[in-house]
Amino acid sequence: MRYRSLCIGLLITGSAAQLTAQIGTGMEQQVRTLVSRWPAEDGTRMQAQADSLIGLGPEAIAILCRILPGTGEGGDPAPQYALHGVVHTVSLPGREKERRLVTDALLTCLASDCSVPVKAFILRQLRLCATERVIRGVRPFLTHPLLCDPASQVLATLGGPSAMDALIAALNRSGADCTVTLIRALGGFHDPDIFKPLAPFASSSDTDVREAALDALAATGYPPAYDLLKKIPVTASRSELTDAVFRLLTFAERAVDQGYSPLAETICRDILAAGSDDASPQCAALSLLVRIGGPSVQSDLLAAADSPHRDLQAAALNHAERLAGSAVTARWIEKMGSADPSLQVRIITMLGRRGDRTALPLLIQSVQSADAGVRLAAATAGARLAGDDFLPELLHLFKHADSSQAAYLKTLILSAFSPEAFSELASALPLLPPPSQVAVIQALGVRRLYEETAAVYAGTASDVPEVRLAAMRALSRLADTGYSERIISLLRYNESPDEIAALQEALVMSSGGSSNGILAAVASMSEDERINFLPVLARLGDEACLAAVTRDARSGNLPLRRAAVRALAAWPSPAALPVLSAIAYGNSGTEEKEAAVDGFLRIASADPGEPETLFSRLAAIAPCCTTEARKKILLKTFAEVHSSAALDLVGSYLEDPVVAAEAAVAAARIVSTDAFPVTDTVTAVMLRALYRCRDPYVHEQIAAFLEAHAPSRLAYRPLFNGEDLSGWKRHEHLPGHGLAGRWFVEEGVIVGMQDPPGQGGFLVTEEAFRDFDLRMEVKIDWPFDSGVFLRVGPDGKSHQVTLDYREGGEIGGIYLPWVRGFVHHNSDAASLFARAEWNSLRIVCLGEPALIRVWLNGQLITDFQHTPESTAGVPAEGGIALQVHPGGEGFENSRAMFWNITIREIR
Amino acid sequence: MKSMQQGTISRRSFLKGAALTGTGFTIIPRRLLGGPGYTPPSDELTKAVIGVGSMGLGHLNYPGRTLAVCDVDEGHLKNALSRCQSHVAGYRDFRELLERKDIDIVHIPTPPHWHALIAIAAAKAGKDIWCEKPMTRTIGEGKALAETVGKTGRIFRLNTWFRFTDTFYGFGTTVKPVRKAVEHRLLGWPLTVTVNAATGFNWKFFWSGRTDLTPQRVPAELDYDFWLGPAPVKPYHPHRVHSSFRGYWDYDGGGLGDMGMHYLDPVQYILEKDDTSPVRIAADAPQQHPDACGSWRRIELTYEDGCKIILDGDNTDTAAPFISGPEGSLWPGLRSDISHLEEKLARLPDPEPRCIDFHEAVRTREKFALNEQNGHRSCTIVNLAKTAVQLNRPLRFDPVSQTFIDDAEANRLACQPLRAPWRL
Repeated sequence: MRYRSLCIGLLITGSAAQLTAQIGTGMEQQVRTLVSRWPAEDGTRMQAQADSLIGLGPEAIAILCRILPGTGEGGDPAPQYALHGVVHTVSLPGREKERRLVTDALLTCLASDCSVPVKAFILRQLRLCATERVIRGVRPFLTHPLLCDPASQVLATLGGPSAMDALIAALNRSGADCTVTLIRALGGFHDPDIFKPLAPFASSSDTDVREAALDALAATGYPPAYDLLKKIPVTASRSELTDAVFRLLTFAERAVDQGYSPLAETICRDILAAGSDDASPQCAALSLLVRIGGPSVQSDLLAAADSPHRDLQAAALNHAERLAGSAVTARWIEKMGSADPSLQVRIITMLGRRGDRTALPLLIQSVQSADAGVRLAAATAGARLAGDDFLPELLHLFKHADSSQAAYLKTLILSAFSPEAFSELASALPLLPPPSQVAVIQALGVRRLYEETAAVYAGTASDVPEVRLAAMRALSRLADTGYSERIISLLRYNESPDEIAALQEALVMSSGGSSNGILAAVASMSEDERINFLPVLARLGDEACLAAVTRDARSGNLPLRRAAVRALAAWPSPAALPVLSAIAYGNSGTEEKEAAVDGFLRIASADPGEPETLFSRLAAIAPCCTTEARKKILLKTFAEVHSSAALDLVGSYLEDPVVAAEAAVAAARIVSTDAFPVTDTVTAVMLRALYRCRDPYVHEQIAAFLEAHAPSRLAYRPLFNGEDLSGWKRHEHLPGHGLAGRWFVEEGVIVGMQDPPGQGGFLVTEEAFRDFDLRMEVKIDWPFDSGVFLRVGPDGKSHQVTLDYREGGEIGGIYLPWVRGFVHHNSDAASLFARAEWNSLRIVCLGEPALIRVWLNGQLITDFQHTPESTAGVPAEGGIALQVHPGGEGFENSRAMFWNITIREIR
Repeated sequence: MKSMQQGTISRRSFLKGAALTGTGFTIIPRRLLGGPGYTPPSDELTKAVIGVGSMGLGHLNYPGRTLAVCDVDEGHLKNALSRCQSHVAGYRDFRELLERKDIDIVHIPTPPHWHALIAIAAAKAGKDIWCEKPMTRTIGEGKALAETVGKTGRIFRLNTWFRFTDTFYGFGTTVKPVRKAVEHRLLGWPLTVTVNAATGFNWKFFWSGRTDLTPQRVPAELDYDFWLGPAPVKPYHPHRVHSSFRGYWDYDGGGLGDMGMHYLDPVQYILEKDDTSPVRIAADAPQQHPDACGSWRRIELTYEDGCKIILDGDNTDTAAPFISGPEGSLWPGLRSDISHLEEKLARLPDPEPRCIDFHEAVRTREKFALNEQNGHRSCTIVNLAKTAVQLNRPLRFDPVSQTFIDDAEANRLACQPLRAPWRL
């Protein structure tokens, strides 16, 4: 019987377990499916998805916690997103029921055996949605060395007596690890009830504990704490002292909140009286006194204003500024009597900001002060308080100002005055000293007060140059066509460069865009007088102006002609291009031609129009562009014209060593459009560009272009077949020694030796080459002297890349045999040449005069550009030769070995 | 104690002579304040730089004679010292540095989670402060910092400057003409500002955090616990620190944290909102990870008076003006639908001058143009945006108490406890 019930019991248990397992699997699967949708796409979906999870009940949350990783532990973050989203959702008002469900589930997880990082994650989520319910479940973690931080933060965030009690209880049973954390958490509670439990910690020998306790006690504002806070050890360091003082201030602030204002006031006054190196505590004490209010605040502020600390002084005045009432104003006015000038400045400034107009009489009086700073402060304050009404005082100051004071007053009136006030100032101009005249005139111009143009114009007749100039400059902002005639006559005879520039600007601005009046006036002037007007005509830039200036550009009067060319060069439209081109190609002097070319370039690039137009213009002027700078401008502009003609022209610059690199970049840009028609000519140009290019990124682009469009151009072909010397022959016509030497092929390698001993020679290709990229492998016995010779002519004249492998020998030097010897030395590369091993050698020879670049074992060792002088005598094309040098000690048995010789011709 | 109201009076009433109160500044240069009895302080002010990673090295070249540098990474510290003269001292603990009496100004280019803590300590120690942006990581820290700086009478500036100088990014001009147009109501009221690539601003979404981090060994030269400071302890990974900390909420706030103040402080200045905050904030974003910052699509912040700031991360409003009101709009380059705009602006009074030389401000004790008060408010815009993105729901904010309305969780994000033993 028992056995049967046992079995049945087992059966039932078994199936229950099975059932649970089934439910478990089903739920987990559901949760995982839902979790896979996280993170949510937006806020609405986040809440909807969260609701789906919550709807599955607490087990779902439990599963969620089981599958989520701790932060920074790796793993799938989706469950973290999911839990976070759930927390956001249940934190909303109206979701209390779901919140209870979720927080309960989180507490269950906390109590389970998941890892510490996961518990930390859960606790941080809990902090966001916690209610008092969670305190019980969080309590155990308050004493956990790794989790007390997030756990105590949950309670600190919650606040309230229950949380506080839990923290206190934890404090009593905690180990040293968590003490400071718990005390800090209690520091946010400000409740007198923490006094008793925390007081003992205030005398701990552990600094962190002691400080935390004192801070927390200070935050209570509870009078018994004062005794503990007052005790500042004699041996306190500077920072301990600062902390202690500010703790007292915190205490005082809280004390005020609790209603113990007299105690707080005493503390503040003590701090003020004690003084200190720096005024931070005193400023804070003063702030608190002001906050507390009380009848003696005013006296406190007045006393603090006398402090030697500028910041305490400033703080006092800032507070005074915010105290309302004319009685306050009056006391500070009184204070002026005993204040030194710097304090007076501060008081005046403060009065200006207070907004109380009863201070005005003082300000008006202070404008007469002997101290300049006081005067200016009074001006600022008065302008702020009274605006236009303070004009008489400002006028007075202007009458006695030097230039920096006048400049200051100018900024003041620009932010304070109405047009009416400016009008009065303008009429007072003649009474002002020159610096002030300048300032006022400038202000009138900045403000565009057209009403006062007459007053400003009068300034152009001043004896003082600064005033005249200021007036002329202001006219460019003010003058209209009514003033054109007058400006014209001012400009006509003027010889001062600054004034000329100002008047030209004024004339342009006042013309209203019409050149008729100016042209008519200029027509009757002498040639010298016309010079000043040409830039004006250039600015106006219409047809009539162009005709006039063009005529002057042909004048026999040199200064006029030059000025006219400069004006044309500055023309605002392409209309001037034809005449500039004519000048560039004509027989004018160099200066004019240069100016014309630069002007042409500037105008053409500034107003590109259609690419064909731009190109044809620039191509027309290209022959005149002989300097490096101009060529670069051309190339930069050509780079934007995606036509074959442009590429052709750019291609010609690839042979110009000065700008070859820029030409390569331009070429790369030109062909970079999808629709660019790629022909043989194009790929030939691009191959040259590849070698002229110095920018690694552009180089990559060109290489890619060639690989795509003309891979055959990039191919290297062998010069040596690995078996015999076909394609090579001994050079029979080297002058002097050099018709000997033994050359043979051994194991796929060309070997050169002296034969007879002491005698050498060249092995040269039968084919001639001009521009190429040559590669080979070289091994040379030590010591020996070999070399690779390029463009070898019938008489041996050529460029040698030296492979002089012995003491003092050069590798990668450039030597022109039977011409002028070394044109380029190389003492660094020898150390890169590997002994008894194969070295890879790459030589590029390009253009005429040639660019010769050499790489040894992948490193660039030579980068040499010939000039016509350095290369004279060497043919522009010829064979490639390998050398065995005659003579030399110890050379008799040495070998120079070469193989894997390939070439890419650059045609 | 009743205090004077902040002035929101327009320039027009200023001209009529009405009182203008508020945080105006004097700009009388010190050299004009001379005269008998005036002793100018010693010539050059001294500074210390706390946090000498990449930004911090730049601070070494700022005005002021460097006396000390500090960093929790030995490598950074050595590198910085190698660029300094021999008298410059190196510290690992900023609290020791703050004890020195000979340092006038402290620069704080640490990651943002440290800004409030160090700045408050510096203020208490009597130093003036040049703090990197964003001012603080949370609104709560900002309130505490602004309050401490204010009551201790310190001079404080942030390391952003577009409200008073320089071309305003892709907008193409300085902020001055925009402010002027707004001050004189040429655009009408209220105004909408759109900040996106089309109006000239890049939101730098590359500052995203990773959610696949696994614990790594802490390099010997880094004191990771000290680097974390008040931030929660999470396993070390190089992506959390140094050049990529911006991707993590614990230390900063992605592109918003990086560029938010540069872009939005001038906007706050333009809209005359230096003493208040938006009241409604809405964000559209993919859900944010609790640890790692991600991108966002759009954030809208609205003020009580209807002024609105749109952060268009997606750059959908490509034709939007930078700023727009019922009577006119401005596009980049100051293009406008208002005729003769330049002319009209010229004839109007300039905005009030402000102190824009920090060392001058330190000497005269006048508030710098961008200080702890207006800087806290513009940083609050950034932090409001961050909160809206993190919670992904509309928020309401009270600018006076500076708390969220009816959203306890948002307030819990705005005020986060610090890890012991650190406290503000």
